Amino acid sequence: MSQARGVAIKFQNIHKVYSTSGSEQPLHVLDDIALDIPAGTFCCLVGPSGCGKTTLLRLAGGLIASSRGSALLDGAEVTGPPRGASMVFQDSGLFPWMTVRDNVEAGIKMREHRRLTPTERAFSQEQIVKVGLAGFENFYPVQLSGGMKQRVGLARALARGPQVMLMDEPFGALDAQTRALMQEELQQLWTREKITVLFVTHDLDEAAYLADTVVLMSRNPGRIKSVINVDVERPRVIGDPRLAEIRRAAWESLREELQGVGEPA
Amino acid sequence: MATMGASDTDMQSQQRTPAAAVDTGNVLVGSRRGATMATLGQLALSFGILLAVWWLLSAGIASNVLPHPPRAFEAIATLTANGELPSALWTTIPGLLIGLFAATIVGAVAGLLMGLIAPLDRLMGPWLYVFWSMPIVAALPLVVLTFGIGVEAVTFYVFLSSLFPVVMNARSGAKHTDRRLIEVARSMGARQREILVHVVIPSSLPPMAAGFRIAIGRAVVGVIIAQLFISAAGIGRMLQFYGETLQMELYFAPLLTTIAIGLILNGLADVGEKRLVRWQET
Ligand SMILES: Nc1ncnc2c1ncn2[C@@H]1O[C@H](COP(=O)(O)OP(=O)(O)OP(=O)(O)O)[C@@H](O)[C@H]1O
Ligand SMILES: [Mg+2]
Repeated sequence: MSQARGVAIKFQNIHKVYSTSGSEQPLHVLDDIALDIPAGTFCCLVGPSGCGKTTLLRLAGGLIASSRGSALLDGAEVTGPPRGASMVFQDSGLFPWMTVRDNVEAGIKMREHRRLTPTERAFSQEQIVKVGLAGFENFYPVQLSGGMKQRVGLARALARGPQVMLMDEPFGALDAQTRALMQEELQQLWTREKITVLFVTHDLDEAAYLADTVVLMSRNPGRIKSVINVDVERPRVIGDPRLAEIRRAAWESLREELQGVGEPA
Repeated sequence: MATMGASDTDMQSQQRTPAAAVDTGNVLVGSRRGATMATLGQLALSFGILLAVWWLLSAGIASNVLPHPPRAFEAIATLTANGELPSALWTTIPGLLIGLFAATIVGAVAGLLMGLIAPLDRLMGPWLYVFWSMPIVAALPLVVLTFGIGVEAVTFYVFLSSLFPVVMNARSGAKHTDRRLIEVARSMGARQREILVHVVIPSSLPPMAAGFRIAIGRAVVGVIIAQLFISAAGIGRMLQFYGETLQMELYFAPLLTTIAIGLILNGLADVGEKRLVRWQET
């Protein structure tokens, strides 16, 4: 929160309408989303299923275009996948036919459209070590556990040396223990790297634990409902009563959104 | 740079022996050599039973149809020694391999293009089903009219016989490429060509390998049919001659040779497939 580098991700009154085929009327998914994410901060995006979190992330990642308004990364309008951004996906998004090493290097290779330099290769290897997968470089994804796959996805994102990381429920498919572990490790990692992170999650505890700001969304159409600042110094401890208080506030705000849908997983 | 704690519980067991876990396809068999020995054993047993059944049948109820196995193998030796079998092979193998190879290349390219380019697929998709349903034998007169009765005609007939399974599978492989993985590549800034080379083609390899396997069977049948009906040469001609003259021991020599060719090609496909799609679940 105390970074002086300015705004890393800026959503300027974004609207997104999906024109569905057939007789259905167009689907208004995002309605006037305006949000500034300061450089070096960790922002968690929470909201009911279908409120447009993934859509917002894909807009920032340059994978889709907005219907109105624009997304800015480090001041530049996003018109295609930005060089300085890395995405991390829920199902890890690893290429099954590439080894761990090739997967990690693919993030650079596909951006630069060439083979890696020795420096880049060494940097990729550093990231593999950093996420604790030294010795697994020649493994294929099918030979890894869910937690290990997410680590590879993280290493692949870091290898691009990103200013911004866009993470879509990266730990959503993991069991509770692995997830808690990954959260701790991500916090440690982020504290050192100071990358700007936009992180989508359904888990309010996860959001409170990781975030500088928790952005709560409502749906039909997707709007920003409220923003909660988490002013708790790091390293944070899972179960800190101040985080529990944040979680309670977030839940209060979300509850009405979820009436009839049940509590998020 | 600090290291993330590598204390993931599910990693512990594997971490002790990272290298040993690679490439071991079979969880029940420890080492690769062990796995190979077991496979060879099963193979021997399988062929042993087949041979035993043949032996029993030739000694019993089917004695007037099936030759006695030792005499069939003797016939192979005789036909090899007098040069008839080697020369028949020499007329058969090149057409078979060239036809099959050409079908694989052309089929893979055509199939991938169709799977990737929707307008092309709408145009050519229906043709594919026409040729898929048509018995290729029906094309024999056309092949003869176009290519005559020489080795070119046989080669082209093999090509035609084995083409469509490859096209079909390459097309469906390209079509069913995981859209999420294409999106992952796009998010990294990949260009169209890179998406093709690093995502679409690798993900289409398993179905293409399956298509190639079907193509092998069709190519072997195709080369025999072409030799029977078009050029009266090679293995096909031997089958015809010894069949019509009811010399069953001599008839079995080209028959067993044909089977051996199919088995060898399939074995080679096995090896190739294992190398190409190592990354797949077993
Ligand atoms: N390509 C598309 N075409 C049409 N509608 C779409 C498309 N992508 C998403 N939608 C719709 O947009 C809405 C928001 O989808 P989105 O995936 O952004 O939600 P989400 O907040 O990420 O949900 P979840 O928490 O379940 O992941 C949904 O109603 C979805 O059906
Ligand atoms: Mg989503």
